[in-house]
Amino acid sequence: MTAHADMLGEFELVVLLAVLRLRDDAYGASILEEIARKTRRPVARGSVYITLDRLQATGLLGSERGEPTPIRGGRAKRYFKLKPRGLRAVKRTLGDLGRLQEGLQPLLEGA
Amino acid sequence: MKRRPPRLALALLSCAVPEGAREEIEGDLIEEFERHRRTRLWFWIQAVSISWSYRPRWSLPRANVSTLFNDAWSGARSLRRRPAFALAAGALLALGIGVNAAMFQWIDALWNRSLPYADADRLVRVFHSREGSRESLSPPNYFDLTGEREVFERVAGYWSPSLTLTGDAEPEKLLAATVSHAFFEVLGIAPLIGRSFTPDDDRPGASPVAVLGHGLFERRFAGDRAVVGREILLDGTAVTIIGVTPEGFSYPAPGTELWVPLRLPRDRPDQGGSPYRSFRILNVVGRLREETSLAQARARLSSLSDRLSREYPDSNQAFELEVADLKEVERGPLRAPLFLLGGSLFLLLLLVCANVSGLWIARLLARERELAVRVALGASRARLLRELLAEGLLVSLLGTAGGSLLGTWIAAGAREAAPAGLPVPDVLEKGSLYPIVFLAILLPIFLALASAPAVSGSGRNLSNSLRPGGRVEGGSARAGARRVLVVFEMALASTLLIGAMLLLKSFRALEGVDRGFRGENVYFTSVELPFTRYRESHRRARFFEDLQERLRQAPGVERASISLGLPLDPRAEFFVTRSPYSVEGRPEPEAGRKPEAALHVVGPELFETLGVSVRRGRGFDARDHRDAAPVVIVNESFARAAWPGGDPLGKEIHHDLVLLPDDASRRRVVGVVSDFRYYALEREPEPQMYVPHGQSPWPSMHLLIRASADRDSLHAQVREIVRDLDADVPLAPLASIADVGQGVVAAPRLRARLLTGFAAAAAFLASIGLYGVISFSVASRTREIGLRVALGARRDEVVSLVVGQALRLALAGGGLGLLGAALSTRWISSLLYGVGPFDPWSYASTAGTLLLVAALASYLPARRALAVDPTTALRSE
Repeated sequence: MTAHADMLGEFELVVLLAVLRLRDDAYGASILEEIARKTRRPVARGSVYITLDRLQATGLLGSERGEPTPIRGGRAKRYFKLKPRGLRAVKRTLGDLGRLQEGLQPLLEGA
Repeated sequence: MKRRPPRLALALLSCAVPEGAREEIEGDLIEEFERHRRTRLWFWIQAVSISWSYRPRWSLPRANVSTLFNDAWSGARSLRRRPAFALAAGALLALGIGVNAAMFQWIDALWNRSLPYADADRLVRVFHSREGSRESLSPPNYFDLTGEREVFERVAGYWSPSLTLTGDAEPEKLLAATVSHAFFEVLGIAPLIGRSFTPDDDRPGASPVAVLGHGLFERRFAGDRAVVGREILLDGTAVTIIGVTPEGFSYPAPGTELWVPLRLPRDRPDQGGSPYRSFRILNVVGRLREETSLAQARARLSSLSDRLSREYPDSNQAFELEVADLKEVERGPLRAPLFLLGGSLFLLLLLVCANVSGLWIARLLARERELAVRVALGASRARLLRELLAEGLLVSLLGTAGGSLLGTWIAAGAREAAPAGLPVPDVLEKGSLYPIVFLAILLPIFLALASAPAVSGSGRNLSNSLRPGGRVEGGSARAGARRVLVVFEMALASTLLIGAMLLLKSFRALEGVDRGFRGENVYFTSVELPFTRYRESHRRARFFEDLQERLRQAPGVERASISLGLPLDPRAEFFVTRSPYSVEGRPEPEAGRKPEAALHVVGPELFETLGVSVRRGRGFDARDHRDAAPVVIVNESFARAAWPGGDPLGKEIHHDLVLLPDDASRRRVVGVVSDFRYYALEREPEPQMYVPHGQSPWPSMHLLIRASADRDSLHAQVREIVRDLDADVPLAPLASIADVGQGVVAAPRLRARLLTGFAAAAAFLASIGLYGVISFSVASRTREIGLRVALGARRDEVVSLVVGQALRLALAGGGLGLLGAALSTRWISSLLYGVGPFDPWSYASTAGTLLLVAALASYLPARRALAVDPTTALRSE
């Protein structure tokens, strides 16, 4: 079964947050780096690209092609930006998570 | 040097990653590779891991038992809805598997039957080889070989005479083996009852003993274990039975039932100028020491054979000792026929797979819309694929079950119908699993390959395939796959066709060989005189003279004579001694380089009996008795080789070997007879010498009778005459020389028939495949054809449209098949006679057959295309 478009999986949320943080400089490699730096977890490169593709296909992310540069072997970057629907999905998921956490602080801190 | 990302890794990415994301991913990787000075290994790891993430998800259906059951269930329902496919594919598979299982059982039994011995890898045969032909060893050379302790654990010598068992029951002729004492030890065979031979049994003058074969033990002695210690009469001599071999043991020849010790003297004075070392009569089998390799054994024996040729140049110079793996020797003659049989069966099985896959694709094409609808309604591709595979596997199971049953029947039937002369394997219970295992691996691959595009394509082109009259992109891909399958089928069929044509042609050539003698109405049997009572040569000569004389007067007998060997008898080689010779009027060849010719013993009138003409001089008659001047008759090949262009009559021949101790070795030529095929049909006549029986009265001879009487009454007469002369002489049933001649071509005939059958089946299967493709293509191009007709295309243009497609497919397959045949015929070239492996006639007629098949397969579709009514076709748009 395919998940409802606006219910984000954990990794989808992570990717979308990384894109938000990077503002105008969100492309594959920078997103990967950002996630690795903030989550302090090794990230499979392929799963990031796959997730970006999926989020774009479901209409949460938009992308535009940048200029090809020599250091990239003449290949262009693809810059990602959240679409309004994507932003709504992030807000809603974070809100859901926040509400789910309410009253759990003592438990969570003890863990 | 500028750093470059690995190109192959980039290529991998471009294969695995979809177009839209590829540029960005590659760019990211290259950028990081440059900026952070990553290694090429790092790049590879990234590329592989990304490619893995983008692997097609539907190709790994994960399923649990209940979904598998569901899949199988819906597969079965779907098969029931369209039983024609299930029946056709199931029947095809059953037939393919059945024939294969039956035949592979034979191949398995024939191939693995040969060496049921412990540590068979260490068993070798030793030959005297001269210019590539292998001969037996002389007793002194064999004794020298037994001294090679560093090479052999044990060595044994043997030869196979036939012995006559007399006593209370009817005299019986047995195939025996005279063996040295180590024989059973070498082969690692322990007697079932009693003991095997000891060195004491093997000494000259030791009291005679024998080991019985299991078959003889059961047949003649009713399996009574008390038989050990009893005495039997063999060729008139009392022999003590000391043991019985285990069941199934019959080395050295199938049918051997009795083993007696060789009791050879180490040395013997030369007889009539022929040295002991030139009596090459012993076959040698040895067991290598555990630490000795075949190569080491070869090296050791090569120095032994150098020594022998230095010390005994006149008997050993031209010869070398050759060591060969026993397996290789025993299986050698089987290799080509079994390769042919197994190879063609394999091709046929491939063809069946291709055909079933073709049917499968056709079924998918027909279900295009159903699949599209199911995807549209939310069925997952993995689910669809699983269901399709389950359906395919159900059909395979059906076919396998039917095939196993059919295989058992065919195996039983083939065993019944096996032509005489074909070795029938003893073990047939063990069913062969090869074809089934093979199919179990192959068929799912075929089906998966065939199904994949159906499932992956059905989602994308949904709207297109749902539209009435619309076709999907995947459909044409599958039609393409089907064409490839048909080309493949055509290739397989043409390879088999060429093989069949070559074998048929060889068989015809073999059958058409001029044998040089007339075997019709000539009957034979063998007569063996017990040596003990016919010790004196004049008694033996007298017996056979009387026998022939009385036979000639019998009613219905036209001619009667005797001969040591029989032409074209599979054992002909065994009955004939080859002797080096020199002739008068020609320089004496140097020792060891003398030419050799077969030395026959024949009675008067043999040539007349066989219809062989005496070209010069005379045949043998009553004049040629023991006390008369020694004479010989030669064949034309001998005359040509010995006195090219000269007159052989009256010339003297000196042959080094003599058959009986006091035989003459210098003889004058009194006649020349025409050549005839003696050893085998495919062997050109070789030089032969014929000695009159009166001057070399050998005790066991074949009796040959040309008669107008029928076989049964003739046998009764012969039996009466023999009994009258000596009641203790056994007489085998009469057989006809013509039957022997038929037996010689039995194996080539069987091969040719089998392969022709296979090829016909292959051509039939391929034509069905082709028909399917062509008729589908016509059906899907109805509108195009209608349009062409509406625009004024002529009938012949429409026909050539259809037939042309069939021809292209057939020719493409045919071309591949010819190539395949050209590559594989060298394996069967040893089975060919009178035709080369690249016989243009066979290749051309195969091409012709393929064209015929293509024409037939496109006949119906072409008629259908011609019947297309342009208005209807266009209206359906």
